[in-house]
Amino acid sequence: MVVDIKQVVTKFYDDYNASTSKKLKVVDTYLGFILLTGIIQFVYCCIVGTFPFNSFLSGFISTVSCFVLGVCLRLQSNPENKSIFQGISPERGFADFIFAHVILHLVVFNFIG
Amino acid sequence: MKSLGFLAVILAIQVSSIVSLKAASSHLKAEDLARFQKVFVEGLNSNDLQAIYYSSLNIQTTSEAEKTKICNNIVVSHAESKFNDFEKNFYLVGAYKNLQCTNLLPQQALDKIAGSLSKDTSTAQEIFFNVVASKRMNVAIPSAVSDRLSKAVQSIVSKDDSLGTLGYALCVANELGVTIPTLAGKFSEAATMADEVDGKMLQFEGGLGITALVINCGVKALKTNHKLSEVQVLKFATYFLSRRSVQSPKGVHILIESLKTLSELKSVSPISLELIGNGQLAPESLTVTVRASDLLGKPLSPSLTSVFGKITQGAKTVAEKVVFNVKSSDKTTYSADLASLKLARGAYSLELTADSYKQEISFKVLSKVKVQSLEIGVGDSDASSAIKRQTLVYPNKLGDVLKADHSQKVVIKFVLADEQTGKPITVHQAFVRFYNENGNEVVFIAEADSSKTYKFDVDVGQKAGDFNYNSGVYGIEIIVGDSQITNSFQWTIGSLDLKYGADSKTEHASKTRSKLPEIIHQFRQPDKRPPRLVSDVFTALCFAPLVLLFAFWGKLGISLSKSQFTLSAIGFHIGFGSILALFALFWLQLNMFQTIRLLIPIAVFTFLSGNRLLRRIAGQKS
Repeated sequence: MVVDIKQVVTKFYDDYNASTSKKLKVVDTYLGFILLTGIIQFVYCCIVGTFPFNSFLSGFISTVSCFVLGVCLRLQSNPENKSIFQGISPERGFADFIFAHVILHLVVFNFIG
Repeated sequence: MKSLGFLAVILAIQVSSIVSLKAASSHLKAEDLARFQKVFVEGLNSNDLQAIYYSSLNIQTTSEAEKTKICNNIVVSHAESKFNDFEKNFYLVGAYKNLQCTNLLPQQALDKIAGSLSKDTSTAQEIFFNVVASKRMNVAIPSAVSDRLSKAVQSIVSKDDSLGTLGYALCVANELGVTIPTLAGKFSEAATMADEVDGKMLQFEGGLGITALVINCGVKALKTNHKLSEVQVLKFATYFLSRRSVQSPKGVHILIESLKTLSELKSVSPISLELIGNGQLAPESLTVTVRASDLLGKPLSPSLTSVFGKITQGAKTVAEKVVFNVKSSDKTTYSADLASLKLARGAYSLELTADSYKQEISFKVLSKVKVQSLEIGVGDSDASSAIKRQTLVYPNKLGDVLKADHSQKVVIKFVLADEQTGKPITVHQAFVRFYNENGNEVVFIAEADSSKTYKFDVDVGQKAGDFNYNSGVYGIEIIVGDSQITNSFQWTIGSLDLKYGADSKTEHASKTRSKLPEIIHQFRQPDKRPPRLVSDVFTALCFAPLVLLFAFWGKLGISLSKSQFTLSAIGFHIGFGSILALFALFWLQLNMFQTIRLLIPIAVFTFLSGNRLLRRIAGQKS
């Protein structure tokens, strides 16, 4: 059983390494970083408490939104999805990503207190 | 000094609730009797001839000097009186006879009376007064005169059908002892036409004077031929009783006279069935006693054959036929012992049936209350410690003084029980009273719970206002009262030393007229922050993924060396970096407007350079 899972994980990792472009790997790493940050914030809130609540919310919402935006960027820049996002180049996607981030963080910093 | 000749009559009337099949109750009270007496005494000493006459009919004076004075007074009053000649002559002679005066009457008046019957008169009233005055003066009335007068009356009545005329005609017939044929029919007709009040009373238009005149003379003159029904007699009697607040000596006299006349109507006279006592039966003597008598309070003859009652409580019938037995010593008193019925405390109603008469009487069965248990204690009002309770037995008092301050409460718990059955009961009024020697008192209501236990607690701090912030020793008293218990009591159970802080008193005192303290807005107190170590650890933890991110990116082989150092690339990176720096500033010190004002040029610059950079990258790819 454990061996099976180990095999699956190894296979998955190898495939990922082999077939994923470097650009996407960069984005994936970014997503992992966001996810981890969000989890740590959540754990803190569970252990210590939500006070100050607005700070917690802005931090947590920031990570969630960043993750969503990151996923969008990954979808748009993935060459396999080219047919879906006709006419939207990865560069255009990246520009949107930056723009959305600017707006998002304006709100987040406003809310953080 | 004045003997109460009329009292015997009045006392007889004071039988309450003269009631038969359909009846209402009414009775004269002691104060009415006293007032009647006063009215007559005043009347006798007044200068009003009529008042003196009617007073002298009812009370007598035993003092010679006073008698002489009044006797002289009537002669003077007669001369000054504004009544008609025949009427004032009648009063003069009447009062003279009643008072047994010995002084000389004015010859002119005597002559007038002597000659009055021989001349023709136009009203029944004048004939009546002349006849009575003549009779009083012992002037013989020959039968020829009598016949003439009765014919005259008959003709007057046929012409004038007013009630006053009818009344005086009946009086004349009564005085002469003759029968005037048309009067019986007219009297019966008048009685039928009498005004009914509330379905309980009958009266004639003109009030007490006319009603009393017609009924009194009518019944006396017509004797058994009066044709009044039982109900009519009862309603007229109820009317007379309702007018017992009458003020003039004449009014009082005719009221008494009429009731006397009605009560002497053996066949139709209403009987009186009344409860003796206040209708409250003590548990040790559960005997209901009623008085059955005629209107004058005399025993009925023939006496009642059966008296029994039905006892109900609300809609529930408690006992169907409770027989009332006549008392051997007093034929008007009937009593029934209810001890065997084991009646519980409460209000009952008794439907009394005495032959054909019925009477509704309500009575109460009382009981005695005892204190089954009482506990008193002082404890903290936040219930942080157990309350030390002391039990107390009625009528003892706590030996030591209880002490309580504003953070404590006084708890009293007591159970009241019926002395006979021992079952817990509730009473109408149960109070706990605190009082001090300055005359200040605070009374709280003790309320019983579902198990009929009275639980009472007073939070000394919360009720400080009731005590007016006065520290000191207060007596504690339990007050138990109920209309259905015979031994309501006040029981001082002990004393309590209350202590209020000095500042609480001044604060209270300053509230009334002086400036209130300023209200300063207070923000919500921030919650307790976690220890510094914890927040530091988590701050570090939040940065850890960032380190990981760079580590992984490094591993993936990203390097800045590949970047193109074009103007647009540098511009884009600087622009984006400045936006992030601006956001940091926004967080730390700027407000939204300042931020946006700065953001717009930076954003435009970043957009332009970014646009150019990305377009170039895209162009290189393709």
